Amino acid sequence: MLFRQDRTPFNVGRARFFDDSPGAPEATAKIYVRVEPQALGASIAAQVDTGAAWTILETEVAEALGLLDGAGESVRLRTRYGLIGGRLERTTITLLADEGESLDVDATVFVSREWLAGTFLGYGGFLQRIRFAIDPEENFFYFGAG
Amino acid sequence: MNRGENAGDIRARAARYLGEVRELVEREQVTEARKLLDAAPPDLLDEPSLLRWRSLLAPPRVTTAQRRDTDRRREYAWLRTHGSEYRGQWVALDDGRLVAAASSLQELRERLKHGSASFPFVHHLS
Repeated sequence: MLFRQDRTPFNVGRARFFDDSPGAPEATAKIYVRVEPQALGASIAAQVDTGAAWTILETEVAEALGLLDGAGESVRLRTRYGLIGGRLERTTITLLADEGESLDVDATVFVSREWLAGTFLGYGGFLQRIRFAIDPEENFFYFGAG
Repeated sequence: MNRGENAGDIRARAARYLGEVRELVEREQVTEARKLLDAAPPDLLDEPSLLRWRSLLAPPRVTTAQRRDTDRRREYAWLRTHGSEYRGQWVALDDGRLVAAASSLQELRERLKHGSASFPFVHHLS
């Protein structure tokens, strides 16, 4: 457990993060945590990306959860891979802890059939309401509600 | 409702208003988009499309959950050792072992329904 200056808890849970995602083309170390989108019934890796405006779900995950043809709004967003058309949808993503408590985040995500990469957790609509810290020596990701 | 307007006119006016909201979102000016929604004319406040945008642009809500995952170092070790054998496929791993593999996530989930892994780690190997 980490504590804030006033001795109140900083986090409710912690999980081991990984520096890479096997099979993914990232050349440098990143932060991959585990999440469960909606009621997928499994954990998946998601890259923490504070520079991303929105959380983006891997396309097959979005499809499995019925989000590609959901009731949200269509938008075209600028991503690291260019301008992509898709939809903004509201769903729940659980940030999974290995110890302590996980967090259910009712969040807006971007889903698209044109998206060819994995799942990214963006700042807007997700990370902006989460306190988080990393210990790069032990590869722990600490988190709590912001 | 303006004098002489019918429901179709209101929807058209809402569409124009929300078109501006969409443009702001696409330019990553989400705070400005929220302000524009907050300033919507009173007669548009109950429009389904506006309510949808309000929901989408609402800040995330965070609550604690008791469900946990397990430390997946053994699963990652398996991926590093065997991942190249399953390139292009989805794999499900649990307890450091391969539980199922399939060419699509949908097919993988079907296979997992008949298996014993209660909460596997699933991964696509590009």
